[in-house]
Amino acid sequence: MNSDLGAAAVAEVERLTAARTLMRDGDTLALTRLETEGPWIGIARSKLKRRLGGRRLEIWRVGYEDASGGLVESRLVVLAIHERERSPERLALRESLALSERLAEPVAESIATPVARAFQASEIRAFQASELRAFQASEIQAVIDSAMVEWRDAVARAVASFASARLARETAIAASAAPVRSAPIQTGLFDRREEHAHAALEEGRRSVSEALAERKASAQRAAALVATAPKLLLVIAGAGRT
Amino acid sequence: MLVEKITTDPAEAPPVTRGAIVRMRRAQWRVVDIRPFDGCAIVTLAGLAPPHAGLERRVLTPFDTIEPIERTRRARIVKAGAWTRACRALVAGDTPPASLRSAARARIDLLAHQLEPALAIVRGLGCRVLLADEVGLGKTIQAGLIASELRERGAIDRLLVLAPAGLREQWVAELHGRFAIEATLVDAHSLRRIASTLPIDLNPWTTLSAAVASIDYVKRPEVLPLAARCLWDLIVVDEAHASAADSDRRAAVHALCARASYVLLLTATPHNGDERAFESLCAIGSIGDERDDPLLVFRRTRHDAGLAARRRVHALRVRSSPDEQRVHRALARYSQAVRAERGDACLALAVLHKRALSSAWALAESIDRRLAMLAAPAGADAGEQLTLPMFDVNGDFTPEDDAPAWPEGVGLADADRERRLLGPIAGAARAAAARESKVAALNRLLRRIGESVVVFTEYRDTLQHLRALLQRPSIALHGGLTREERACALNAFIHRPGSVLLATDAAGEGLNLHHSCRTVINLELPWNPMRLEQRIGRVDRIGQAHTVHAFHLIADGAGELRILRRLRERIDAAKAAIGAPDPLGIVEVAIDEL
Repeated sequence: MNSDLGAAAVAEVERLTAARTLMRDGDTLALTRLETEGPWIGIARSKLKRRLGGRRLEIWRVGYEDASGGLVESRLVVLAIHERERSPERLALRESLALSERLAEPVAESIATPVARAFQASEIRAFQASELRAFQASEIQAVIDSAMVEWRDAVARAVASFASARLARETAIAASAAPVRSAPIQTGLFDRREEHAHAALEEGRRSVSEALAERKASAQRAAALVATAPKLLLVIAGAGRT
Repeated sequence: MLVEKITTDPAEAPPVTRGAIVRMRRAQWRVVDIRPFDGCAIVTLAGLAPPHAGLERRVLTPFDTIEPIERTRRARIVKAGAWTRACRALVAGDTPPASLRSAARARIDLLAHQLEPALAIVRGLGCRVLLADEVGLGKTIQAGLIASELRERGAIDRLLVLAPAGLREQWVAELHGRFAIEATLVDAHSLRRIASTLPIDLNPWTTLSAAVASIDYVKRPEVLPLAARCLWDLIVVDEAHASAADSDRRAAVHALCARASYVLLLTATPHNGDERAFESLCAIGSIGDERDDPLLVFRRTRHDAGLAARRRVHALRVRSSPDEQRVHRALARYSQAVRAERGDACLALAVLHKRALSSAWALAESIDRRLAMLAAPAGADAGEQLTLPMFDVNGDFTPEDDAPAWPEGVGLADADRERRLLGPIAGAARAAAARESKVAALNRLLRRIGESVVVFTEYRDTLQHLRALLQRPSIALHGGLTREERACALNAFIHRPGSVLLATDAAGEGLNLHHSCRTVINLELPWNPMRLEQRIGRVDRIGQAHTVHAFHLIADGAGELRILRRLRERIDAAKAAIGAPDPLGIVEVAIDEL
């Protein structure tokens, strides 16, 4: 195949190796719970708190769903929000995107490990989850959207390419299996086996034809993308500051 | 039908949607996906609590009852450990467009060449793929990656793997162990068991989301219509070269593949030097012309994959005994007589010469059967009978290594004269069979090697004769073994270092023996170069830690050197067409004398 594919495969090995290095037992279960329950808030102190420098880190997910509601593509966006200036215009977006790119690197470890060390039960009480609502503004979505234009284009191209290949084959299969007019049969006076066999054959043809139509419709649905609203998943903030 | 949500009981419970928390079989799950399936819905669930925590299950509603659990989504403060775990999972799962989503979870070593076919599929380059990599580069893994990736994307629900009977368990185990795909091994017994639990008019194939069956079982006239009535989204045809030529096998495979959304053809030996057979292979599952329905061909060598070849091929010349020379002379006289009378029997006579080169015993067996036919009273039905699958209802056996029927068109009009010519061949062959020079050479070679070895031969009767004469205890693997016997034989070979496995081509195809062995000995040269590559490929695979040695035993003065030259020509033709590997001399060919 072409060399593009070879280069993409090499890059993919690097990405997957990094992902595997990062993952530990129980991580998938934690993610399942997170997606079920809502945003999780972590409290930073000491080293991590100093590193955050008065900002709050939010991890959002931007995604596309197909017409069936299945998540087709998604991307994480990390925002660093200055705690004292809550207006969306003051989002340190440039810095946030840089963090996002670095997150897949060992930086993720440097964020996560100090969190584990710094976390203490006493500090959890000081943080009021209800205050987060103030930041769920539509402006945040606008900022995220403007930053994800390139990614959205890439998704549209990738999904269109995958879906069109699938749809072309489904269409060709449906056309090649177009219903053929069955030969007339002479029904027996007493022996009706021929008639039963004919009916079974017709039923089989009909069910295959329906299944082919459904598969084609499913391929069409997969090609229709719907952008979902950004979803806040994780927040990490300095202890004692809301 | 669009299934966005399923309703459990409209009067009592709210509908179940993606992302909802539900109770199923007394455990809590999160709904990952809901898809239509034959008037029902397949619901993919992720387990939330032990013992199902982190596991994924697919269930069919309304056959499984799913009850939604009310839960509101709101922010909450969590402990550091949980936050860290979720953060790691999010970052690790962040996937750029047109990348692979399932490969990180697959239990495989990440090798770039193995990701290419899956990337080609997700980039929409085509829906039919011919994976024709050199033997041992991981075609099963590449197929599994494609299957799991397409499943992850919701593009397939039903997967069918068509494989030689002996590889079915291997496929089921690989799909389960590496990709968490629960496939069902389908044979007559399992299909009967499934059917017994279903309403009488329900096709048991439709209840299987992933099935592994033998091509020879599926092609049967009583099986194929039901299998074909079920629309498969992805069909994997393993050892696809076996379905290349015009045959009922090819017709069955094509009938199924022509309705599949995705088709994967797997073979390490797609080209045997015959261009028509190669074209026939490439057309499996094709609809329309090449532009509308392209076939993506992946043909990588060890060199392409960055894995240096570490194979040494040795051609060992074996001096024929006087008895064997007598056999070949007598056979030449008989062939000359047949050609003089029938002219066009060259190809048919080749079968007898193949038998002679395999072993004197094999030839004696064939000649004895012919003499018995000639001795039968005139008018008696001496012809071959059709074999009914009565003793092989599950399609376990592989008949390709059976002794071939007496070739049609070989014989003389004067039966007495034919008997006079065949008698000396049978006598000399029986005498030669007692002390076969190749067996003696093999015994000497095995003494020198002193480690686990696989010895290949084409015919089952040669294998059984060889087993009786061999000085080292050996394990037999041939097409006449049941699934259990075969598993037992392989287990014995793998767990007993220093053992000798005697295998026929038919039984050895597709096996992974590279962790137990590095040496292959070919008792005779197969006439098809693909078979030679298949044999060596059992031990020359990714993961082989040692240099692989392949020994070809070549009978001197028996015409086997001519076969070697002919093989060389066919390999060159295949090399020119698709860059086929050279099983005769990848690293070195040393002609020694034993």
